[in-house]
Amino acid sequence: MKNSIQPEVTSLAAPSRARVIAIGGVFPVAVAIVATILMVSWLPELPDPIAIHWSGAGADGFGEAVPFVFAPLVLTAMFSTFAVAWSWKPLPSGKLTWNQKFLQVTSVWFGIGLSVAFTASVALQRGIPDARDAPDVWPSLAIGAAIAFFLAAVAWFLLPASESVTSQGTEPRPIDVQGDERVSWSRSAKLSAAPLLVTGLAVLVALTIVVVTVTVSSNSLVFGAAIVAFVSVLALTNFWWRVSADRRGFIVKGLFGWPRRRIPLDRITEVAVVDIDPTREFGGWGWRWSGDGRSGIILRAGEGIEVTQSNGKRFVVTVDDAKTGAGVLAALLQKHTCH
Amino acid sequence: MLIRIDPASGIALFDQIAGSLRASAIAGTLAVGERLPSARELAASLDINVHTVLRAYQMLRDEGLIELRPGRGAIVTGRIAGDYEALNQAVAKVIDEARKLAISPTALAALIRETYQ
Repeated sequence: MKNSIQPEVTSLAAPSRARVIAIGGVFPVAVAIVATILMVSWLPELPDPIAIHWSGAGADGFGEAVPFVFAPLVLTAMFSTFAVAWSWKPLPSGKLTWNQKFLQVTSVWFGIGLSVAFTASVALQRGIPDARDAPDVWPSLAIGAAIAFFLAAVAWFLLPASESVTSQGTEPRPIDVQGDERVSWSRSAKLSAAPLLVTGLAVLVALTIVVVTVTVSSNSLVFGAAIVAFVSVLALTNFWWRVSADRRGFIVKGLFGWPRRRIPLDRITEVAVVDIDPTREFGGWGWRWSGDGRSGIILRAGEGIEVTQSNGKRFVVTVDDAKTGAGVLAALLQKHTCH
Repeated sequence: MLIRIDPASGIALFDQIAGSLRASAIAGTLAVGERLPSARELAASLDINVHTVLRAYQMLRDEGLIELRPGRGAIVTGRIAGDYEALNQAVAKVIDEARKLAISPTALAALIRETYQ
């Protein structure tokens, strides 16, 4: 996710990047490599096929050992690469954004958890002639999860501090409203191409999961269909929006009239035109929370309208012609407070 | 897309709405492919009757500026004929000049209207 607005890496940021690579990248991959070596060395002692899935009653899914023992390494390498790439440019101060830090910690949690869980479930099957007799895997999974959580917490403290980025907005020029004149500004806003691609991928991944789970066991069909439906609806509702400013306040509505957010004029204390960098300030696109009392509907990089509510929370929407929209709100606010 | 109506102006409301939309199209803030708010939505926004908005939309449809699709609302399909680049620049210049002289928008509008006739 390179962005032309992002500055080059400063001398303060370079050590942060090194720490990110070590903790979020090298560490989980190294653990996964050790786990893989261990599992490969056990291969001669394992039953064929091995148990790869357990339910309440014991092992109920079986498969070949070789792809199974390499799965944690492949998945960890992919996730860690993504996590490190995302944090390739820490803030100029050397700090990470909240999202960057969260992703590093998740990378540790994911890599360790996966390696421990897989290694434990393979270790249980050493010397067993038939995988159907494989002992219960749940205690090892619980231990794996606990270790992963612990190391993720340690990683949190070892990583550079996180800092939320907030761009400074500019005050709009109120548009001219005379006497009893009524004004209404509105504009449609669409998700830009990059996040659209990501959303498309998410739907594809959900579909793949469904196809795989359905082939493994047919009673997961309902569950799988629910995942796809959920992801699709989520994607669709985040795709197209209408942003309006009028006597009713600042309104943002999704494609089906839902989700809908309205901030009435009497709850708005300030309006500003802002320039948004989605990944740095909000960690992505869609309906986002930035962790510093700021939420927003972030559809692309660039101009947007930001309103500050009377409770101090700020709400941002990226939209074209933000200057006019914010100008309408500013004019209506002036009128509102005069009466 | 900015719409302004003044119930006290003596000009029919649907005419004012259509005028605002035409002005947005000329200024370039209403591009081809842009979807207009539904008539009900715009009526609620301006606190007027939905039929007034529909009448404005029908007028713009007859002019070829928008297309009305049942259930899908109004979509901008055409451009108002002509090249407005020079006009937009001239308008910006006039407004700059008026701001320098602290002439109010009402006074400026009145000046243009009088000179125009």
